[in-house]
Amino acid sequence: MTVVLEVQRLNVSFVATSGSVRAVRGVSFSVARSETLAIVGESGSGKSVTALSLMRLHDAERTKISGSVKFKGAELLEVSEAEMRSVRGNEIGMIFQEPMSSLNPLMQIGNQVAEAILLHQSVSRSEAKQRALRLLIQVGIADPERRMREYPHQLSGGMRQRVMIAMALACDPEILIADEPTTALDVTVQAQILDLMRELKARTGASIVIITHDLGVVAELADRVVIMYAGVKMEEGTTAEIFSRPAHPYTVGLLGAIPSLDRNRSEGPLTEIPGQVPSPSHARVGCSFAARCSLSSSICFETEPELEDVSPSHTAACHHKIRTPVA
Amino acid sequence: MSQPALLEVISLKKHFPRPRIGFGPREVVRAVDDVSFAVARGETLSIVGESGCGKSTLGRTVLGLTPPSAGAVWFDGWRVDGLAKPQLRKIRRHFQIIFQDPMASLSPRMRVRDILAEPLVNFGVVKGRKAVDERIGELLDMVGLARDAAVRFAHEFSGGQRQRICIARALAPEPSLIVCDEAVSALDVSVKAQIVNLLVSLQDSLGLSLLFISHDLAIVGHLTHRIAVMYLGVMVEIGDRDLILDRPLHPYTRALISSVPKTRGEASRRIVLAGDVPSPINPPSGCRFHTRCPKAFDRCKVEEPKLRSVGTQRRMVACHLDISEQGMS
Amino acid sequence: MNHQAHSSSMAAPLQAVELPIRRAKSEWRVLRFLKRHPQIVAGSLILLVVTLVAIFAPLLGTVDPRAISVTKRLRPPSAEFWFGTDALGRDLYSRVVYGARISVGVSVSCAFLSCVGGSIVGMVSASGRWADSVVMRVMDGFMSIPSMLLAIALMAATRGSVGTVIAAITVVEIPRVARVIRSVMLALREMPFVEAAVAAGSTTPKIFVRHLLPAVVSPLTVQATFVGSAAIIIEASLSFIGAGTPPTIPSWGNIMADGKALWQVKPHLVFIPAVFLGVTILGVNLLGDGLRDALDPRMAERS
Repeated sequence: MTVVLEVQRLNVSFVATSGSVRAVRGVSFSVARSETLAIVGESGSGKSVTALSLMRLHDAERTKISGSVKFKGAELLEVSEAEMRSVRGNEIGMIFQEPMSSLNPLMQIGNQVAEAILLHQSVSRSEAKQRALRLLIQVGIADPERRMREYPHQLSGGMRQRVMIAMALACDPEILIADEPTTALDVTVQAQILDLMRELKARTGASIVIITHDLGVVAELADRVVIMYAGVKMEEGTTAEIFSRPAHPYTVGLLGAIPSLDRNRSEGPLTEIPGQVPSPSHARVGCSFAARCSLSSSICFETEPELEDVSPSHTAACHHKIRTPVA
Repeated sequence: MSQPALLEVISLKKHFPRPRIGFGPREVVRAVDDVSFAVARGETLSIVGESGCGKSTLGRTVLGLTPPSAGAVWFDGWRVDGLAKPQLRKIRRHFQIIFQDPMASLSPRMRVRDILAEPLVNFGVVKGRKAVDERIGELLDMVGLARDAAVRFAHEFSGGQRQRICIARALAPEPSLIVCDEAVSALDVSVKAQIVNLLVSLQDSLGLSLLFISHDLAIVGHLTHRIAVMYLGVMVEIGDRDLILDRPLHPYTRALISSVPKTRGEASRRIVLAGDVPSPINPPSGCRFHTRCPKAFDRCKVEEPKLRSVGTQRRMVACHLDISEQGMS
Repeated sequence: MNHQAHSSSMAAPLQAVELPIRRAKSEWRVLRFLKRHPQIVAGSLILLVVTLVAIFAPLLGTVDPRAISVTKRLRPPSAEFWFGTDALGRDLYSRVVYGARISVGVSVSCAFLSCVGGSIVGMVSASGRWADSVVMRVMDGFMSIPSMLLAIALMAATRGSVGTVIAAITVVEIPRVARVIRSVMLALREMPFVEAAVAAGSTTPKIFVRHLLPAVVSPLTVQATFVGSAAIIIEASLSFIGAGTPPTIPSWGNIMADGKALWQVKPHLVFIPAVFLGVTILGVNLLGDGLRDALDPRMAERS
């Protein structure tokens, strides 16, 4: 399995008037070719910050990034901005959460997609428009010739997201980074988009890094999962391992908090994780999750746990890892 | 039903005329178009649907926060739509609402104590400063917040905590019904679970009725007794939770349920609807769902189906398909 | 916080007692706030000095600012007349010090009156579609006339006195305040907490006072400083062209008007009041800018 993206000990801090805030603390993971990795967490987990850091989309003046982000061997955190620009949109595509604000409201759809092509490939304008048309067909937009000439506000949420996917795929990227791609969509439209992404994944063989808080989406799309909490990676494993044999108490809590259609209230309340996410500006000793964890003991408040193997493909950072026997 | 329903909504309509552009007929957004249902005491009825289905408008119209265009709302035997403002204000104590956005639902510059005191004082629930403060303490206990939260400002709390404050505010006048308008949608997964559990336990201990408006079928499936499915302003199916979730009859309900991503087990064959939700300004003719329905036929394009009971089941469906108790293939 | 959570099989209702984020002690917060906003400190100091000068004018070594002395005309600054005398032998220093009263008085009155008036107009405007259209068109009408010209026109229609100067400037400045209040009101009206207040049984006046007005205080304060600054300039300009404060009452504009014929030979007659004017306006503007930056809603929750 060739590794396309390798992230080592990524640290991201934001400099604010009241001091600096560490949003991402020492996170490492890798993405292989044609693999879909999901980064899961709630608000404050640092998952979106991580995604934006991969493409160096943060404000350079107020952000301090350290660590290593190696894309096909090249260290992205050290290349020049010009080189970074040739990578963005070209070899690494990105889909954002809110399609309405990510599309230019004053430009026709066709032109926006064509621009994504023209930025990185030396083709004629008409050739770019032809390709744009083909892309729109690929992402399942009906009546694409007409849609090409329309503006974003004339499209529905689902269609806008398809346009974003088309733009992200325009230059056949090796990796697609999707930041909460379905969160803003209705559930039936979400189903369409998930199907589309699965189909594109099979067809193009691109790797996907999908950022989400929705474990259902993870179950449908991801091969491997990284669970983040308060800026720290808590657990990583294959989708099957995470869902059926979670080792970290936070993961267990998260899975238990999701209702499923085959249980109802008479069978007891949903699993609660009491308390709330710690503020990123506060200094921490020990495990970030200790204060809310039902398994915590004194060591949890003193030493931050290291990531340890639960199985060859499964790691968790916990002093009291839960070991479920393999059925 | 042995007992009269607590809330009864009959043929409710809410239309929003759009500002006139040029000449010609005025466009109207038919947000809620002839909806009828009832909620019993101590029961949770969930209204589910996607954006544009009119569920939020329905919630606010039922409470009188916006006047209906047609139809009637009966609460505990009293007709509440069309009441004059002073009477409406008095009767409001019995039905309250929790909104979606915990950040914007609380006055940014008010202390929690004042926010909770407002309904207590307005409705005369308790009198006297001491009694009010004591009751505020009790309300905070009920929703799982420390009593010293009373002196703090709303903006000092996190999303989940603010939603608890909103719940405390809704409970203050001792209502019989609370409308939850996407009350947990803006919260993190783990916090959602806390608030859902809180609502369930409050309902059990206080005998509250809940009108739970949501797009999240999984959450709804956990806490509801009955489900009503809305599409483009009309109700397409309504009935007991188990019936609807295990054996959905309306094609839209089936598609909705199958769209919920599964975390456990294999993903069952999914019904993916074509196209997007049409605009509520110009709903399709006949059955509003026919443009996306995998089972539409000629009659669907022409005639709008009415809700009708299905055999002896506790449910109603609005569909032209020949639906028998055995369900469809 | 180290407490044991409960497993999912717990049957009792949740009892997690939650504590909100602790805030720093209030005194420290005020100090830190001031340190981060030197404009507010600087502006306030300047205004404080000017106001004290205006209030304690008789005690600051002044003589009657209207006392004419034919023999002591156009003297340069000396021990007796700290700023010299003007064309009528009046002590310039006393006139300038007493002139502060006009500037401070006019600026404070106009700021206060236009805030009250503008708030009322703004709230009326935000209360309904019809009211909004009518009121805003009227305001637009006022705003399309340059403020100086409008003030001159109003002054021409009335007898000249400090009161009418204040009235004219207030009329000119009300539309600006009304616009701001109106937009704040319109934005707030849509917010869920207003609907929640309705659901909690509050009447419209109560909602106005308890929920909407507090949000208006900060933008109103900022507007008040801008009006104050504009008022000083307009009053001085009006007086300069003889359409403002009557010549019997010393005001910085008047003093400059009196001195403008001779400014090439006796420049201090114009420059000294001009410097006072400039510094005062600077003070007001610094305060206004500082307040506006500080009260920006994005900063409100972070201090």
